[in-house]
Amino acid sequence: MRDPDKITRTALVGLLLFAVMAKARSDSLFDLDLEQLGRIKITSLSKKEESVFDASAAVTVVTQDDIRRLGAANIPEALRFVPGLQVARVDGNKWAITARGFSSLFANKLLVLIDGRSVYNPIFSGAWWDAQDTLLEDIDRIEVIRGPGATLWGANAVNGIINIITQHARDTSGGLLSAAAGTEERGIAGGRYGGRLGEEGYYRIYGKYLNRDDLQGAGDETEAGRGGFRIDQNFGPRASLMLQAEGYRGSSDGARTSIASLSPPFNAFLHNDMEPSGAHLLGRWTHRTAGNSLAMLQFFYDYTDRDFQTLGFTARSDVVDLEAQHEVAVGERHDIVWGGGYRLARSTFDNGFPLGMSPDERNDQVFNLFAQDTITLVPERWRLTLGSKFEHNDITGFEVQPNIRLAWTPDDDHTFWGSIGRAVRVPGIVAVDGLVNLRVQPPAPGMPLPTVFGFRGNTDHEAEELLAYELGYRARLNPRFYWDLALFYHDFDELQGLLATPCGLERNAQPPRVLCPQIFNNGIEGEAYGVELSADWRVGATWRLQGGYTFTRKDTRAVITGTVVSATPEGVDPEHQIFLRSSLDLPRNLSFDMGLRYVDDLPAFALSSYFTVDARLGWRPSKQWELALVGKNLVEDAHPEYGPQVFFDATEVERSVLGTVTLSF
Amino acid sequence: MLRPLAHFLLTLAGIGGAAAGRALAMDETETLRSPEYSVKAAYLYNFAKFTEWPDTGAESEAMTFCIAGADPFGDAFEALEEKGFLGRPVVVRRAPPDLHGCRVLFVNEPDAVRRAEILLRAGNETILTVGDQEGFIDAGGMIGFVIADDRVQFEANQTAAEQAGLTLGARMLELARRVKRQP
Repeated sequence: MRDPDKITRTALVGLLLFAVMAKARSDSLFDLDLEQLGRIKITSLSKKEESVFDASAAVTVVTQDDIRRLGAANIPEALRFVPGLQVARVDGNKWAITARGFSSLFANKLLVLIDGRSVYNPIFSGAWWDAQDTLLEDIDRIEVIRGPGATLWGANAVNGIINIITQHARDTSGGLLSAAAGTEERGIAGGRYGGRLGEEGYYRIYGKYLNRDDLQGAGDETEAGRGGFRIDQNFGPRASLMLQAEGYRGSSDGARTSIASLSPPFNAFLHNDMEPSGAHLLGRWTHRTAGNSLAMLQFFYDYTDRDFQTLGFTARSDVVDLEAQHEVAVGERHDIVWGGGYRLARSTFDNGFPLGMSPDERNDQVFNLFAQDTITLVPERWRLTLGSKFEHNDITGFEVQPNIRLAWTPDDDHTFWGSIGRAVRVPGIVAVDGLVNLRVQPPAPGMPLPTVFGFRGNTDHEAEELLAYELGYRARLNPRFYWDLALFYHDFDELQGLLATPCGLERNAQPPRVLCPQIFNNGIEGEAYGVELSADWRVGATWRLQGGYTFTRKDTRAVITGTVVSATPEGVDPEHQIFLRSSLDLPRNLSFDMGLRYVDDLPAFALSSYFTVDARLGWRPSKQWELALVGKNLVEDAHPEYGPQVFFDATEVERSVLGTVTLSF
Repeated sequence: MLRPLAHFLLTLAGIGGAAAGRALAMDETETLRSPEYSVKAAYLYNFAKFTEWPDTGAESEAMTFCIAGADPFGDAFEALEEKGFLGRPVVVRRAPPDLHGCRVLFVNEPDAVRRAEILLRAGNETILTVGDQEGFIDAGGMIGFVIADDRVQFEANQTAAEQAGLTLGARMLELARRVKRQP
């Protein structure tokens, strides 16, 4: 941003957009063919869209169209323009994504689900975004809910939930081939084929491969391949079964960072490389009864394996999860949803230095029961939602997570809502059993043993507790302009911290060493509060503008003397974020999109604020083909978005160009 | 912190100018029609395009869309009336007293008995019947709209169309959720 020419350039981009706008003309539904018509979602009667408008929570939906038009090459990039989210790229394959603060590579207060399967990793508490991918064309939508959702989703849905939902197999019939290559993405290739399966069934199979260059030559290259299928089978008009499976394997390299070892040179400057792999199988049975009730039974098995090659550590987990849910309308005024679930997670570790777990295997069970009633106090005007989750886990025991929400819809175009809810975050296994060694002081005269500095888990770790207060207002000023405001105050207790304890000989450790440990505890409390404002303006049939402003502030303090806040430091979240997105349909089947983002500074990493522009020009020469040219981070050659994390250094995000080709047949 | 913000605001001003220009230039034909029926109107146009009528001599005449029962379309057809149908004028007749001259008949009649009466009357003409109510093709209608996953889809009764002398295009049969054929 030192170059004054950039101001001129930025202004030129705006002017160019202006010129392009003037040429836009309206399109008509009558120009669409049968197939395109079949893909259009009807808006006025859509329950989903209505439910977003009427929802008594802060909800944003990213549609397939949004993902395509953003030129997103992966799921984190599709989340960049969601109000209230903090999305920061740590390196070529790691992201720090959270809502409402507490950002980190291990952002532990955001629950992430793909088709109802939790991909929140219970060992490291957070989602590994390098492993969360699919053929982006097959994603139907991403629902982002800010604020606690623990009553329905359970523990760890503290600051928000990201719900990635893939399309019904019926909607992905036929073939699709997509390829992309650019200055940063060396190559992304994907393919899918879908069709009918008998009279009432549909299937698709898909595969994807990606190879990504490192950032600024830091060595953080990425390679990943995955394949899977989905089957949707109806059994008459009321019952259906969804079955899906996927497997993936990749390599996620890291930049050089200081890695501790027990032999000379003790602290080496090494690339921290990982190999993630995994597979899952998910089945969901849905039955709609005549009385308009809906029963759902879901099972999944998920296997993840993460080999930390440089750290000599491997974590494997097998998760079996069973959930049942029943939605039923009772009388005129009550919509009840209730259910329960059971999860068994088996974790096994190959320990090394500097990272290990003790014990090196464990089983964790979670039982839960929940019920929620949405009461219509005044039809179409006042709605009250009451519910609670009752959950038992093996780490912190019994947890109650209630929620009360009230929504007032004075007319069809305005919704006011408020909510008070409690949610907990169960500590990750690293914070319970972890042996995390950050630095080794070599033996010296007078101290013949190496001295190790690091973190140690705490088996008495309690859950972090949130009491959240939220207020929201949504208004549709006219059919083309819509805005949404959410205010929150999050009151946290028992937040995770680290307490330095005296150095001593480490027990049962070979070779012998002195340990100066910081032990995980619950010694921090604090508050986070903020404002999330967004607007959506359909300027004409061919032009849409969306904008958002997010303000987040956090205050934490030690309640146990000596506790370091390092597990939840301040200054890791931008206080101010602004975005603007423009989506324009042009004549000759062209489309032009721009995304502008301003992200405030991050004092914890001494990073200054940045402003950047992404742009995409798309062209559909025929129904089968789509070509696009995408430019990302156009303003600067490179800028850092985030700072170093435990074991992983951060690299700078580069300006990049990407060309994509999609063929549907 | 100020520089990036200044850039952001500057670009914003550029776009704001563009937005204002565009809003002023926008023609205000947008109305409060229900988008569901805008989609259905566009479907009707496409059905007419993909269906073959036996009487080729009538091709110079207007393409007449008739609506039996309440008209849910609002002014969704206005754009089509302006655009025309493959060079032919488009006529929309609402609640026509008789069906003579109708090419496409949209049936929006919740009462099954009255729906059957309308179909019976349509059977005397070569009319493509399209129904808005569930089970339309099972009651002898040719095309029935269904809503699935918030999308407008359709099913087709090929036999009913053939009996009236109409040929439904292959594209329609391919995209229909269900095609009914009587042996």
